[in-house]
This record gives sequence, C-alpha cells and structure tokens, in this order.
Amino acid sequence: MDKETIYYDQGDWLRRSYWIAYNGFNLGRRSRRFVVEAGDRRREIASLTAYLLVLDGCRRISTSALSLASEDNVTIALVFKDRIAWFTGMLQRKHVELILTQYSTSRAEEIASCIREAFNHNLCAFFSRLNLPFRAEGELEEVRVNALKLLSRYLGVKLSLIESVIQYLSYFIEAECLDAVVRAGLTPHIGFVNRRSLTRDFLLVFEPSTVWRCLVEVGSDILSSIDLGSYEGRRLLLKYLRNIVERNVEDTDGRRMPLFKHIKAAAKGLASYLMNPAGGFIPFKEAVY
Amino acid sequence: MKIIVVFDIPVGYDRLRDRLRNKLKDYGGVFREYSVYEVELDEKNAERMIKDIRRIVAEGAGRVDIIFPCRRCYENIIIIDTIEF
Repeated sequence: MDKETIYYDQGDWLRRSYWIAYNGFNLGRRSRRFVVEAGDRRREIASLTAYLLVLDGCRRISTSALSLASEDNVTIALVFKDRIAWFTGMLQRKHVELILTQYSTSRAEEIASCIREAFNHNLCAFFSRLNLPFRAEGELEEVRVNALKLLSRYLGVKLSLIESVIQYLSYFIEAECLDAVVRAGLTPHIGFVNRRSLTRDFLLVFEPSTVWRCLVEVGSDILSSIDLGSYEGRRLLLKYLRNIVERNVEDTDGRRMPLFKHIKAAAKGLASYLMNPAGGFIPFKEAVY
Repeated sequence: MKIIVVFDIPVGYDRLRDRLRNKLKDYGGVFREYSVYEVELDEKNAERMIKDIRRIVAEGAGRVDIIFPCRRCYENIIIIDTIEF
C-alpha cells in the first residue's frame, strides 16, 4: 500500500471525535477551527484535534467548514431521524487495489461468518456480565430479537423504547465505524453480512459492548422517563455512551484499550487481511471473565 | 505532549497578539490565563507550531516562552484559584 492509503499520521492518537447534539445549531469555520454556534452559545473545535464530527440537530453547514474538513481529513456525519449521512474527503484517494479485493474477495463468506461469530460472542459476553443465561442460536436477526426481548425483560422497559434508543445511539457508533473504515482505506459500501454496508457489519460486532451496555448503565428509571424527542434526553444518553466508548476494554487477545481504538484496530485488521490473507481476520471479541 | 505557551506581546502590537492567539487556538490551544495557553501536540505538529509562532513574533515585538513539562511535572502543577476559597 502506498503512503496515501493510510490517513493516520503521527499525531492521530491525539485526535478525538466530537458528538454534538443540539437543536438547530450551525457549523461554520474560523481560521483552522470549526465553529459551532447555537443562539448565543458558541464553541470552537480546532480541526487538528478532531477526526470525526457527528452532528445531530445541525441546521446549516458552511461550505468553508466542509472545505476545512476535507483539507484536514475530518469526517462529518449527520444524524437524521432514520439514517446518517456523511461527508469525507478521503474516499477519492483510496487505494484501488483494496477496493477490488474487497469487492471480489473469495473469502467473503469466511469474513461474514467471523463477524456473525463475533456478534454472538459479544452478545453472550454482555449477558454473562449480567448473569443472564443466553444462547445465541439461529439466524442473526432471530438471535438479535431474542436478545432484545431478554434485555427488555431484564430492564423492565418496553421493547419499542429499547429499540428506538438503540437505533439512536447506534448512529453514533456507526459514525465511528464509518470513520475507521474509511481511514483504513476500505470502502463502506461493500459489506459482508449486510451486503451494502461495511459500517453496519462493524456496528454489529460492537453493538453489544457499546450501545447495549449503555442501556444497562443508564438504568430502567432513566430509560423509562427519557424523552428521545428532546435534546437534553439525547445528550444524557450520549454522555453514558461516550463514557463507555472511552473506557478501556480487553479483547480475547489480551489487548486492553478504549473501545473506539478497538473499532479502528478492527478496521485496520480487516484491511490488512484483505491485502494479505495469511494474517487471518479476528474481529473484536470482548474478553469474558 | 503537553505544551504551555506563555507570551508577552507589548501594547501597540494588538493585531499581532490576536494573530498569535488565533494560531494557538488553531493548534487546539486551551485558554488557561491571559497570555497563557495549553496545547497538546505530537512532535511534528509542535515543531510546526513553533515555526508559526516564530514567524508571527518576527513581524513585531514580544517574547514567547514555550514550556514542555514532563508528565510528572505537569501533574504536579499546583493551581491556586480564588474559586476554591
């Protein structure tokens, strides 16, 4: 791979992602900083310190802010009611060999089964922490629905509410996955389990350790009283999720680091596996104690 | 690494001071006190920042102290603030 394919430079470990949830804010630019403005509130984010901006409730983005994001390789993801849209300046410089390998890989089924296995493993790890017996059997969707029902019973919260909270929080993890995928040089449009989305595949692997755990930490009292329509409620949930993503977690290989770094490592691992299958692909599996 | 930038730009060079502040903010500098900013950068960007500061200060007058405290020194910084009293 040439140098252009890898977008991490020496200082990337100092960069962080910013999740902004506020009603009707504008994103602009001043010098080499993003300016977030909402009414009389104003916050500046140096582009050098950010790799991803996830915006919920953004009313307007200036072209100069987009240009800054493109110049400094900052991914921007916009959260809508039922989807996320994103902007990245990195795709155009992608390594073509990696796209072709991802598109025509003969190991697609093998990668898909690895991802399914990792999802089942992480789900079982999640429930074993709660001392709840759970067996991941059957098709992926069936396993997920059964797990959601069990979680709903455990928390004593309606299934519909749990699903909507999970959907909302998943957008933020999906945005993190998207950034990791793009930076690793992979294309987010070619998946293995979800054929059209690699980010959804990554989300599947990380969902139990991030979003589902967030629900447990938030607790049934807050969950049942939370209003997802209000930005205060959303910000409260995001604070819990952020705390989880930044927490050190150990995987089955004994690597202990924050979850968002695990996401990046998983994307880089897949990219190197596609280019050199001898290395093997092991998606993130949380250690069980 | 943590970097503490302390500057003293004389009266009469206000625009230069604003430019210096702006530049520090571009590097992710956090305002600590008047004329004191704290920045966290890797070596490459730190060098780039020092070059930029040199360029700005050379256009006028003033003094900039750039301090690189080690982790232990940084953690041992004592802050005395009237808010605590």
